[in-house]
Amino acid sequence: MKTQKRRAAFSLIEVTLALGVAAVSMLVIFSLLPIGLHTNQRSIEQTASADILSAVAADLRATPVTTPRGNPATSTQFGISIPAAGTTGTTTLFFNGAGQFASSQQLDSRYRATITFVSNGGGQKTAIFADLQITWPAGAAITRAQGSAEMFAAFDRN
Amino acid sequence: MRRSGDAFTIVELLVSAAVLVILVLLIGRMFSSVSAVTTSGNKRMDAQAQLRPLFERLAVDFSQMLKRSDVDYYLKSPAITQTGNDQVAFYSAVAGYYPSSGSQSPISVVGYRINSSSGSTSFNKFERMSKGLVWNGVSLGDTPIVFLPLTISATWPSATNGNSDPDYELIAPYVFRFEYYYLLKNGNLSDTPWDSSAGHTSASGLQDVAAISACVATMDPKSRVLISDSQLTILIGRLPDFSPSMAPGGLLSLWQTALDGTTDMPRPAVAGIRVYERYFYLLPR
Repeated sequence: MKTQKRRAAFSLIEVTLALGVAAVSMLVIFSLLPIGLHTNQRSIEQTASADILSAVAADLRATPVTTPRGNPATSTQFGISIPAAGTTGTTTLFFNGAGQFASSQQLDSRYRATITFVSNGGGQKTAIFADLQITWPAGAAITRAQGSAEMFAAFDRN
Repeated sequence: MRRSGDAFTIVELLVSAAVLVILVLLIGRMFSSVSAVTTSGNKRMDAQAQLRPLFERLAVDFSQMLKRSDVDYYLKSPAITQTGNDQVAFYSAVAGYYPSSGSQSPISVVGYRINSSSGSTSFNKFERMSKGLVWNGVSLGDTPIVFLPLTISATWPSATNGNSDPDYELIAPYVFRFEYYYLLKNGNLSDTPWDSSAGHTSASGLQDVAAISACVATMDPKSRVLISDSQLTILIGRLPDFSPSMAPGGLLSLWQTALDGTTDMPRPAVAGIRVYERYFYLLPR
């Protein structure tokens, strides 16, 4: 058998192994990217929803009491209708990424704020109770939301 | 056909290099779009992060505000029309920087302003003053709380003008525009802290005010370095003052319109400006 002069070169197995190692490490690096993006997105959403919650609660708190007390009222900043003492009601608002609100869903809406006034049992000496819930994305119903933030507040209006 | 043991030819090397370049380009584009997304999100978070302590501080100071008809309030009113950035000073039951001697009272003079002196390191930044007061009659040198007709502006001038005072501290370095107005108990928005329609002519312990609404314009640190102090001063002038004819939220939309129409300044900087409004409830007198 005629022997041939072998030049130094990588064998097919070596090249395949090297490619395999490179592919695995690339895959790991790229799988980190969406995780990082997702975490970033979540923290943005949580910051924004906390901000919306405090703005809505501040608006409800700032709404002047009615004369006589306990009558229905409308909040100034967001136009939330506060029902009369002892009755219930729900208002839905939509916020975009910059925190601007609309009473109906817009193209740029990202957060849905649902303000539910729950019954306080009537009574002149009971506060008005409101459940504030921010869910996102804005288009999804509350039960199908991707994420949410909620707070419960009591207002002295009766 | 290539015999086994041969090395790669130049053509093979060129092709593999080209494939590698294409891959690197694609990955690079992906990274740059990811970083653009995270940067814009982080800018928004930076702007909101400095607003939170500011709004919380304002809420505490306003809710602890001393509400008596015999003390003075330095507030926007027909006698004190404030064009451009607003200033506010009042007595509040919060801690402050007290004099080194004398019995400390629970009351401080609290003031908020955007620093307007161009020589200051805090120029165009939001400042809060809290001057702790001693009890009346315990000190000859330190001024205690004063009652009407003595005013805050005559007793502590720096609380109501642009002068420097060691009791001012920076509270929100990137907030450059501050405007406030009143939500009266009759439901109207007003730049007068009393209900003229009820025949009142003075603040009288803010008896007619249900809440104070504060509007601020802020930006993030990255956008701030793109814009000079003089440009920011021009921008402050372009954001209009509140007028009682505005509907709720009308001031913020005017500000946003003014910002959108600003073309003579770096666009990334102007796009980084965010406007916020928050209502602060005042405890009933």
